[in-house]
Amino acid sequence: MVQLNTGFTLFLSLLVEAVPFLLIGVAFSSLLMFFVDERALIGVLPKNAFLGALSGSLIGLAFPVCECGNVPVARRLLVQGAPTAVSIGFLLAAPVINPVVFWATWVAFRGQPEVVFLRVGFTLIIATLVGWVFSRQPDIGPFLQDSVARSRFRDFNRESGEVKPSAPSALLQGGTFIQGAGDMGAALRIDTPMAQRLVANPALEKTFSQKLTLAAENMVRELRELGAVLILGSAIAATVQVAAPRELILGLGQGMVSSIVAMMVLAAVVSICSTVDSFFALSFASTFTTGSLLAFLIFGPMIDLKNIGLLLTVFKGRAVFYLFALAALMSFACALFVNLFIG
Amino acid sequence: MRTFSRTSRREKQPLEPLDKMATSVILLMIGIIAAMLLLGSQALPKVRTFSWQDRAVSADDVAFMLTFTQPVEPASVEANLKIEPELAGKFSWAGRRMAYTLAVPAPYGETYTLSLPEANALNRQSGFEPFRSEFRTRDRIFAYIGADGEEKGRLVMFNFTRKEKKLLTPAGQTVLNFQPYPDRDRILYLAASPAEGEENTLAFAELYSVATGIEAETTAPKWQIWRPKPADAGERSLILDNKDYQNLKFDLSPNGKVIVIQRVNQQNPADFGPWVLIEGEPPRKLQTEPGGDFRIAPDSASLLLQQGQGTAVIALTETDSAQTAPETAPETAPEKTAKTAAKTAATDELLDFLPDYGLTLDIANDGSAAAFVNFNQDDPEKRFTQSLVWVSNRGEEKLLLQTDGNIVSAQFNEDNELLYCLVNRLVVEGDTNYLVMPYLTAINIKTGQAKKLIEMPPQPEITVSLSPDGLAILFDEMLVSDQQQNDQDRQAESSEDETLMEATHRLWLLPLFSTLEERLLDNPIPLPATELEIAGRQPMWLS
Repeated sequence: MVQLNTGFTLFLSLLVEAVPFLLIGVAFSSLLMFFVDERALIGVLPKNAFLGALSGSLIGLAFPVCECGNVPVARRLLVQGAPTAVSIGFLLAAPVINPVVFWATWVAFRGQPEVVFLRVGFTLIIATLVGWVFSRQPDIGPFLQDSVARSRFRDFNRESGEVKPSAPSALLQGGTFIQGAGDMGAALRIDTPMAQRLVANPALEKTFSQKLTLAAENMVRELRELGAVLILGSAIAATVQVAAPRELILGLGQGMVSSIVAMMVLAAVVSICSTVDSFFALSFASTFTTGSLLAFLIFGPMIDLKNIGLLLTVFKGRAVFYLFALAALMSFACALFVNLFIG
Repeated sequence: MRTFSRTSRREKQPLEPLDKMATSVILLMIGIIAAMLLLGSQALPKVRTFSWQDRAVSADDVAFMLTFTQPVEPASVEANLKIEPELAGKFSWAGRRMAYTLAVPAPYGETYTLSLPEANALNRQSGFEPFRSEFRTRDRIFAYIGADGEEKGRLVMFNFTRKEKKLLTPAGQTVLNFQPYPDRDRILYLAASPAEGEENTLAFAELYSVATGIEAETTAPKWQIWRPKPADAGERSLILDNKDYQNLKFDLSPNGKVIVIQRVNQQNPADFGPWVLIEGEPPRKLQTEPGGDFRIAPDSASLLLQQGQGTAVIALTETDSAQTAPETAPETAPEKTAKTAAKTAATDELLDFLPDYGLTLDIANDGSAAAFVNFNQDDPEKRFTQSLVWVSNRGEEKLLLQTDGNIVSAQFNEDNELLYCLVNRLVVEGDTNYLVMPYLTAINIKTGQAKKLIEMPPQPEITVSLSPDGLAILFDEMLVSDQQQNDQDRQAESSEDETLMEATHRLWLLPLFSTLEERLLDNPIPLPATELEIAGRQPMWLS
């Protein structure tokens, strides 16, 4: 009974902590959709895969969202036809490379400023590398969930990886029709909210008030869908935390390697928002190695249990596995490097 | 996985380029990690940070912190850590962090070496990078009002550690009273600049602050170049002018942000009372019953004001929202004053009233207790005697001293266990000749035991100042040529000037402890005082 109680409290606290940021994320995503011409943004992003991944990682500076909020934005970018490198870079780095998180980490780790800079630096490196790896795939389509893949624009030049700046809006009359997906090239009637939400940017020519209404509607829809996933993820995180005693996790924390593994597992299990995770990590600062704290701060925002749920709404299992494995191994390597060579 | 297989079938491409790339990068990362593990640790466990590194430590710094790069064995550190010269204290641990709390403040004016040649890591890794660092304590510095030659009437700062003297205020300005700011970067002082032949200097006293030129030893790192540079020594600024009002006694709050000053209207002597000056706000008169002596509490937010036979505790912070209306300049022009007064028509909040205690002598630095004087007006048997009472913030009360003379001042030591009191003892010579003999005594608050430290020759006024590290007391001696000048009325500050004319002033330093053990036990012993070759009065240590 006590465990159930604790579990429920944990669940609620996770939820309460995450929901505002989810709201911010969804709000940004919707505003981004209705007020920013991403095609223009995508157009100015570097074509080079490596630079694209780097710039994608840095987009977070303009969008202060944590990992609960960055998935919808990343999905939007993908749907809009942004290069994969940009989207993946953004997906992995945005929760850390943004002003709010930087500030929160600085507040928590003022005594160890190197943690703040190493967190940002390693995240940037990992996100860029993973983005670059994903850019090896000329068309990311096969790795996307069907609903996402269908709603993507296919005026994407497979050979050059370039986005044609033309086309989309003219065919979209009042947001009711969309340039068809797949290889058919036919115009599709959008009659489900799902498809309408995933549509690129039907609203750029609309009046301000219409845009605002659309943005609000979109926010509600995304919140419903992503909120459900968040609730499920929080429930799982809470259950695991109650089932596996914290003492056991902490017992692993003395050694060079075991402390990193423990903190990474903790990061995945606890699923805490990147805006507040530095305070969570600070409570371990005295008992755990610096490398393990960094692993927690780098790996946690990229991948955790509830995030996997969100990622699965965009990517297929295989892609999520690659994301997870690459992020985990690189975070581990960075943390190990810090533990062994910097001390 | 079902989705995946369906996709593969449709695409008829079991391995996308991403599959190949991701797999090879994953294998590469595993290889790198394995190589790093094989190489093993290249970094020996070491001290990462030392919180007092290259800092000038003050008495407020009670503990330093060592952070290790890895968890270490506490016993191995405690056995090997060495501080030269020795500083008694105790260890406490929180994972990789160790705190060393000093038993007593580190003596000022010293350079200390901290060394930790070896320690054992908890993960059985052998070896330790030896650590060695230095820190120093602040210089011993005091200020006084000069009494001779070009120093006469001027504020002088004396660095006792380096034996350097600095005149802070200009000639032609007579300093009446002063109080250092907590960061000792400035000194607040009340001074008059009398024109030739003018007598009544007090009427023209104005409140100034002067920079000491001592760098505020805060923890701001050197790379923060945007931090303001300390002002040059002697840079003055006017805090409060003498327009319309005469400035009398003042007190500076422990945080250095609030000043309370007794003022009287030049035209209307009935308009008399304490004014509050809060940083960034115009001065305002405290709306309360008339009172006498006052002192700002350690929280810098309330004032203890002698009212009648008791002490009123008055809130200093604004409660009236109308008061926060922006005022352009802190002027004391009559209209403005009237406006301000009208706004604060309501009286300032009275937090408490202590009916039994007439005079507040000192308040413990943590606010846990205070030393009061009870004038015993209610008790016919004790009439004309004074009692020194210690009162804790939980209402406990302890009578520390009873005298038929008067209790001049009292000062808590740094851990609030001792109270150093200056008492005037009444000595009857013959039938009519009353003599006042001042003496300094140390009272242990726990045991109530008093120990007389030194007797001083009869004199009208003595200032006693306990050094911030609690090791010595500085006092002035004013020998007046006229021995009859035994006026007990210390309030009559206006008569001070005439007596100053014929007086000789000297400063004395009284050490309190001869061994470390006496120091640790808070057990001061009478020791001979040393005369400093300085002619001055009202000496006061800078914290």
